[in-house]
Amino acid sequence: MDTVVADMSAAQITIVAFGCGIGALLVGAVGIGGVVMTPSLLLAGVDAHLAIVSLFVAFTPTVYVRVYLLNKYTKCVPWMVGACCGAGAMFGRFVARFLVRAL
Amino acid sequence: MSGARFMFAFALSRARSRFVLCVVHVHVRVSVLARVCFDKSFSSLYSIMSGLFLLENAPRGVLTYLIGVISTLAGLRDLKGLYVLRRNKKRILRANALEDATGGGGFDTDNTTTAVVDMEKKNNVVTATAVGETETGAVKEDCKDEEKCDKEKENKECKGEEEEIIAVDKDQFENMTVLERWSEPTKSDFAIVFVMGVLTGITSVLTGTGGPITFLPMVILWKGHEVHRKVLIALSSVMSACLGTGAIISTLAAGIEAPDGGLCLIITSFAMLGVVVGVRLLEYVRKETLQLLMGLLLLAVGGFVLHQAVTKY
Repeated sequence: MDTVVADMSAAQITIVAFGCGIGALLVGAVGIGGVVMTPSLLLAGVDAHLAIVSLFVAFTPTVYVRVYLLNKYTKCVPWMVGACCGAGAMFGRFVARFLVRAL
Repeated sequence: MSGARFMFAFALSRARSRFVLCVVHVHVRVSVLARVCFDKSFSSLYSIMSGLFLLENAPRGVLTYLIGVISTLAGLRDLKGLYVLRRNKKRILRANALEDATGGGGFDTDNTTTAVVDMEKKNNVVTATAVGETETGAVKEDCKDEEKCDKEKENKECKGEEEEIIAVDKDQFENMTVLERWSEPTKSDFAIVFVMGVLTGITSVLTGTGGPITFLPMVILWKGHEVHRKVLIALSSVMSACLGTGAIISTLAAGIEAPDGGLCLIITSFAMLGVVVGVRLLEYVRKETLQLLMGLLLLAVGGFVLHQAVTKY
């Protein structure tokens, strides 16, 4: 498999692993943690485009797991409000993409 | 992030004037329509929508500043709320101690219970709960101790005490009130949450940030004093799941850049581990501790984002 990880040193891989682990821990416990993960990828020398795309693709399944675990252990997920908010977010994203492309 | 910036700069350079004209045109038309047809509340909604159109024309720096300021405000509000809560708690404890010293006599009720009940009354919470860490903790331990309790069961006072000192973990979902659970949202709640979602989605695309960094400060400023923090965190996770799904679909469909397999593997495995530990921590963390952590983190994030905005724009 052709991947940028093959060219990375052990220290760089450690930075990525540590940053993602700490960031995800913060996301799981407090809700905000992306602000740690992206800089750690950039610090490891990953290209900004690639870092963001990879982070989005790799972290979304983790978010599904997070919702499942939150529902299982804390039972605190407000599904109705969440669905409404999620629909709004997807709509907003669609509108923003449309505006950016249209211009 | 820089791809989005490039697209944004390119779009602005080519069509800024046309877009401004278009926005002004739409603004005039809709405002006339709003004046004629709709009441005051709809006009305010229209103002928000106009703002959304103008967002596109605003530089990224403005949005970054906004995120930083909102995060900082939410963090400050959180910490201030926590400070006020602790100050009230101390005041009540001091007042009770003074009452005891001046001859209150008798078997005093649990101070912290009183404090918590008072504070919960302030937050429109009805249930009376007792928290473990108390000055009269010895009383609790006595009552928990089976031998002593058996001896004291004959005593009616102790029976009454035992009924009062039933420890309830108020941070468990089962013991939360309807307000704290947000299980019965009103129509206006739905509308506001939807608008917040839309704003989060737009900001996420335009600034390249994730959803919760924009969403959580807004929702904390709005519902932070009513809804339990765990519920707000769970809400943000549902929102970010939807946002992430949309991002994956749109990014992969556009075919701008494919993700790196090896990088995804590392990120997913360590992130999964971190999330599992984080959620288990969240399960046991008390509301006040969570509020403190969130306040500090929001302040840190707000400061970081403002610093980025100042240095970049």
